[in-house]
Amino acid sequence: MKKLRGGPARAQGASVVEELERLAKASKMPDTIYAVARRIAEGEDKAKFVGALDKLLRGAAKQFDEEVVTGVLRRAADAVDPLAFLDNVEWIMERTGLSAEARKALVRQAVLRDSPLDLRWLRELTDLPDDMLEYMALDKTTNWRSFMKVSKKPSDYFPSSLKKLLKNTDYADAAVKLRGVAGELMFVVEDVELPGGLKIVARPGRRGREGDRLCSARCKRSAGDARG
Amino acid sequence: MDGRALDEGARRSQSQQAKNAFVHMIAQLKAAKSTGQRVYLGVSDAIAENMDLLEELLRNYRLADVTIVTFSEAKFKEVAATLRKGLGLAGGVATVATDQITKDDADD
Repeated sequence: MKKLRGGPARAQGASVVEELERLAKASKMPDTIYAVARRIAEGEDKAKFVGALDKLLRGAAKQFDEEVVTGVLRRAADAVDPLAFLDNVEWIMERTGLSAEARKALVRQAVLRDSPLDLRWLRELTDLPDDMLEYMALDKTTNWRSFMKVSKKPSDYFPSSLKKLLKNTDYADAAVKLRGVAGELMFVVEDVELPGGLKIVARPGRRGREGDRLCSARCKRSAGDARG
Repeated sequence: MDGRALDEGARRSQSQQAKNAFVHMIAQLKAAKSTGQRVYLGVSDAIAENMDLLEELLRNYRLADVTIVTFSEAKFKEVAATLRKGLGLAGGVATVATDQITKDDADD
């Protein structure tokens, strides 16, 4: 990131403040703006952080809902390395091979979930083919936490030191989830034909009266009618 | 306890897990059917020789109208392996076979 000085640096700072003022009306935004301002004031490299915020607010943030922008700013303000966090958001949003919806969904999963996706882990330590990542990104029920937990490669949420504490049930849980995702991906990625031209569009989160899933996947025909 | 008794215990435990999984599958199919929508059941071709038995059991549970969709076990393993490698998962996360899924596990 190019570090500006003098007039250009002031202009960049003013641009960030202007954009934050515009966003201030969104819910939870005042707290977030305070956290960002505090981070800028306390951070070691203020100019680079302001530069990264300027890039985000002028570019990728335009594609996000206000809720996601709030989440990104909040996580950046709280991150050990806010520049790396924002760089990972930019990486996702610039990644070719994924649809815009999938890119936005990954950022959403990284900033709004209680058990968030670690973008650094996804970027540096995984190697998923685009079509698989696309499907997993668009599936709201993809449980990244289970996979990050048992991954051989540590994420920020599950560092190596915690790996020793994992139980067999953690591996079994990930295995069952892997089986579920693989079963659906087979029809999506391998293009195995479903009867009547059905396509898997989502895994439902809702449950039946007895707590059972109504079905393992929701499908729809090209005409748009849903099938369980 | 001698070896034979241990083998028998393990066999019974596996058999009970398979029963639990089957009961869970029937409950899911009935719940799906209760929505009034058509229901499809994905089944690995690894159980091809038991397909008649599966159809008979579905009839017995008044689920004869469930459409069975067969998929290739080999393709499934291939996709699962790519996924496991892509996510950097440890060897312990093997792809579980259908009869290893118990009722408590099978909510995904």
